[in-house]
Amino acid sequence: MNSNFIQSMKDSMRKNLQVSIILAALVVIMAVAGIITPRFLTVNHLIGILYLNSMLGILALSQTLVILSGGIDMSVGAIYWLVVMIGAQLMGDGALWGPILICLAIGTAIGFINGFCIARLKIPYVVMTLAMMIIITGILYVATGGGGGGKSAEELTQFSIARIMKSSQKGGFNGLPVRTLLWIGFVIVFGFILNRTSFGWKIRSLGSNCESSRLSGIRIERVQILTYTLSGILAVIAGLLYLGQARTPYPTFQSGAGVGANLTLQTIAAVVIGGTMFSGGIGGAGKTMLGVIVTSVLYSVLGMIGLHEEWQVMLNGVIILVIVGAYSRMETNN
Amino acid sequence: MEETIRIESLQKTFPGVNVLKGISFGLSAGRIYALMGENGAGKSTLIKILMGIYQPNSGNIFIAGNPARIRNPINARTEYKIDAVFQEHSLIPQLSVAENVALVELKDYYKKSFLSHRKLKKNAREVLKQVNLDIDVSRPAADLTEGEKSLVELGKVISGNPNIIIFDEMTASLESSLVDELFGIIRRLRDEGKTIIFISHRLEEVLKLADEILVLKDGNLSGVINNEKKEDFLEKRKTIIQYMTGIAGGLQFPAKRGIGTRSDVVLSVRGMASKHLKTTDLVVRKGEIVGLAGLRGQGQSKLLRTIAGILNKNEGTISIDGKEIVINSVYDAMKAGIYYISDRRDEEELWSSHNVTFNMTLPSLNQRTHFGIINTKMENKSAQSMVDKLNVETPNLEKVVRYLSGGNRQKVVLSKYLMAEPKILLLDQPTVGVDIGAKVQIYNLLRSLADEGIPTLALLTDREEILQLPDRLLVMREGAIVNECSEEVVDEESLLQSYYE
Amino acid sequence: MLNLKSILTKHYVYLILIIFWGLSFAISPFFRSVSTFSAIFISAVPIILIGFSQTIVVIGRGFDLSVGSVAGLATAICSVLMEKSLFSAILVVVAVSLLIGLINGIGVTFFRMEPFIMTLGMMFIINGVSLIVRPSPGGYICDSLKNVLLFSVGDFALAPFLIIVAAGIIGVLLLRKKALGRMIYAVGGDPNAARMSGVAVDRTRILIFTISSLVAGLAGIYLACRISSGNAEAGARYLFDSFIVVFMGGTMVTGGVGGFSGTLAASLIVASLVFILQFFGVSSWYQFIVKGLLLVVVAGIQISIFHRRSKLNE
Repeated sequence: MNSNFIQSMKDSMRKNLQVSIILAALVVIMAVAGIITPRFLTVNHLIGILYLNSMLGILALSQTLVILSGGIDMSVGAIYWLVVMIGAQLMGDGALWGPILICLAIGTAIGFINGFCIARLKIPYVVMTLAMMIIITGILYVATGGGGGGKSAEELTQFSIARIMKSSQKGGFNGLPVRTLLWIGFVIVFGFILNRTSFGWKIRSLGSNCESSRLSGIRIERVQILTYTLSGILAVIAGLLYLGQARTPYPTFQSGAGVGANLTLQTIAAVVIGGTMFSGGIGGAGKTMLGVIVTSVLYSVLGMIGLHEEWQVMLNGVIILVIVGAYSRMETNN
Repeated sequence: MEETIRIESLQKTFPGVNVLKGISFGLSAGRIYALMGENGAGKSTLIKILMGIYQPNSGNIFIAGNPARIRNPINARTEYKIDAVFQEHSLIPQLSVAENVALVELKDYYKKSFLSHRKLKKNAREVLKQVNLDIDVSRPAADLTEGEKSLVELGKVISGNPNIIIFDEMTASLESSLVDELFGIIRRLRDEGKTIIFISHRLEEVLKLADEILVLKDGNLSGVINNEKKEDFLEKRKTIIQYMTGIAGGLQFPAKRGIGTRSDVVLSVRGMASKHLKTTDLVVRKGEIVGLAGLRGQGQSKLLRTIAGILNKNEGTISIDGKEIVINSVYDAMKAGIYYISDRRDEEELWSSHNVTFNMTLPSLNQRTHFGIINTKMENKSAQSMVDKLNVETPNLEKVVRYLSGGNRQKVVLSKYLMAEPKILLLDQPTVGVDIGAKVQIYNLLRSLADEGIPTLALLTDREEILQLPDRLLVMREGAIVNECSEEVVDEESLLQSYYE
Repeated sequence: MLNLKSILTKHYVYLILIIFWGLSFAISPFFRSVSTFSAIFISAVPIILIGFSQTIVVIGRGFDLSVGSVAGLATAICSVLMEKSLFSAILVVVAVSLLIGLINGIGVTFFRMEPFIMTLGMMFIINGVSLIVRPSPGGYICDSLKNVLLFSVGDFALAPFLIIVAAGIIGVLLLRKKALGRMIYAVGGDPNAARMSGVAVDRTRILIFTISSLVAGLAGIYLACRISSGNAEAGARYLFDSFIVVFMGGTMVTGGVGGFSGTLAASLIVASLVFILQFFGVSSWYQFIVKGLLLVVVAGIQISIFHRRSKLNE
């Protein structure tokens, strides 16, 4: 009984230890930044970081769902850019809801196809979503000729850059960005879904042990299809928000490799930095939000001290290896 | 007789657990030793130390009189001439048989420029001749039957010409005819002067084969039984169980009910046939525990899995409470109240990285949710009531099930289906890997479930269970039910007879 | 046993290659020229080399997301160091690639990180370093090396062709005939079983990542000669190409199954696509769609065959 008690203490410590590691990392980064430039720690600046990374946050959320279910979605970044380009072309004449609905339909369809091929045709998820990313790349090039035209509808732009509770004083509170609230809202909703609904439990059960789920009468194909579809829809929402901010789909997706590939890899990085197990089953929406915040705060800090993209990219890699390495060591020690 | 291996006060601790508490014994050449004990008694730790996978905390090992430090499996094999055949196959499914046989020596090829596949094949054929196996050695190991895999593995081990051979639960997945063949090979190896360490849960096998039986309990050597003369099995059996469990008098089974044909039929299978099954009819009645017996691998497990919708059937009907139902998936079967519990608990039943509540409540979750939303308090309450009812030993509901003992994990699996209010349970070896205390609890649970109206159709392998637990026995052979036996006291001899002909 | 069934079920990649080439050859006069095939070979070399890297990693039950970046870094290093000395440039590329592979291997074995995540982090780090070494494309690539690696006789790109042949022979022999190759299959097929059989699993995995990275670095040297400059981002597209050719070539994500000859054929298909589409007057942008669809279809066929086989064994 005594060893059981110690074990359960260890369990709860392990649970909290992960979150503590990442919070500690966050505090250290922010403290260093605060010492270097005191302006960093102002509320306005911190909210600004969240504002800029809301899209990544929503994308990472969609990746979280898929990874928890024991898969990966290599196509979220591609769907994101597809929406930016197609949305802009459709909104060229000022229409708003039509294009939004079409984009949502496209994202739903792509997610569904991913899920269907993975669940029903048993195509390995890496292969399927990778192929989808490449196909979308081709469609984008063919459809836009590599350039891309059109612009965001004004309402969308207004929504994407809107802030509420803005102080009228000069130098006062800049207000809460609506899209950041939307991101937080999604995190809460999906956190609730994962923890408190049967669908969420089923997603996690799949990632933990797919065979057990099948033999326990869970219709795993449905759950998988639904998960990938949700992932597609969330990617569309993130893409629309970006389109609103960028107004025109410019600069374009310069990448011979695959559209949005880098973005997709960033979402995966955020998910695992947050502490969701890459093999699935364990993790959550809130953790991923922490992961996004850590990486984006780091980026911002590096930017402020004059280290630009190359250093940001490099340190992103270091952070992944250090934090995930620490998690893995903890797992092994258990 | 010369002593090939001597172990002196061997100790091994893992964080928080004392697995071996100072074991000492010596083994001679040309004898077969059986190592027995419940799960957690320390058998597998001992074996892993002998194979160099674990290092002992203290104590000495002497091989042929000289102190030995076994660093890793390769070291055990080459320097100390110890090798083991494990229950979990160590064949690489994608490599050919010839390559698998050569895998151990592959590092010798590192220096040579290229492998000669012809040579590998010739070598493999010679190795397999020693275990009377004549197969195409260029086939991938994945295509072999379980029996062939075991023999290939044994051949692989013999080819290294070890002095000490360990058989770790090797017979667990073998069909009975193969077990006999294997025993022949083991006896031959003994006569050649090897020291054999044979580990098995199956008392009958051990008594038939071993010259000496060592019993472990809680990390100590609790008893040694000489079995050179293969007689007085009943007496020895009792002694072994007593050494293993500390309980005198063997297992206590609940009394049979002998329902006969009086009560209502719950499950009725008519004319069911599939790739693995010949046309099968069976009924299970209210209040019954029905056992599936027979030699191993005669389609018992396939039968259960087909009824449960995991395997496809080609024809036939399944009815529950007289109503015919269509089963195309596990989901369909469960909706009708048919619940199958696999014997591969960790692979097919549990979500090992999740906690007790999650594992217990998931299959029946939809019954208690409103619009898909879970009432956590209610989930915990129902999980707690199962924990209390089944006496699951867990500090709390948040415990990750990976850390529970085999018996408690099985209780969690049972709970998860009992919460879904089954009409009938199909159990695949419900007590495999479960310690004796929990075994008895499971027997009583199944009996009281049957009395409450949830009958059981169970695949049983332990002789004592087969004789004492079920009200009715169905014997299977080659995918068909060939005998039924519903006497209160089963005549063991005639039952065994029906296994074979 | 080259009967029709085994061609259809096991060797369909070659079949696709033959159909592609055969059709193009029959229809388009442009395709019947030596220079077209030379162009295909020239562009296929890095795909094949990086495809080899990815093949051994995937057979060994892993992913290597850093291969493309290693190639990119190699071009960057070459473009900076070749001004001073050709020899030192090559030496540094080899040393750096080996080091990267070693770190990947150690992360995967001793730190027990998922290969995907380990190499993802490594990819980010290398990308950053490459951009620091060579912020914008350019630099000097030694002419003599270019002349050797891209040596042609008339229209025929002899050197790239020979590289492909050599890579094919070495790759196939390594996987089929060398003990290390068999160990890679053993580790990928079932790591626990391999460990029980006395295979040094960790050492083999470290070797896999090291070789993978080394070959990617060599591919980078070739790439630098081909684009005649250093470019930190030059390798990026080869990462996804490597996955495409590995999976199209019949190597399974689950590890232990596959081989290099399939990857080789798939690489030639991928390298030919641009040209084939051109000759049909279709925008080369369609190559992505064709690649993606081919990948799904081939994977689908492969899986359905695999499932039928495993069902027979059930």
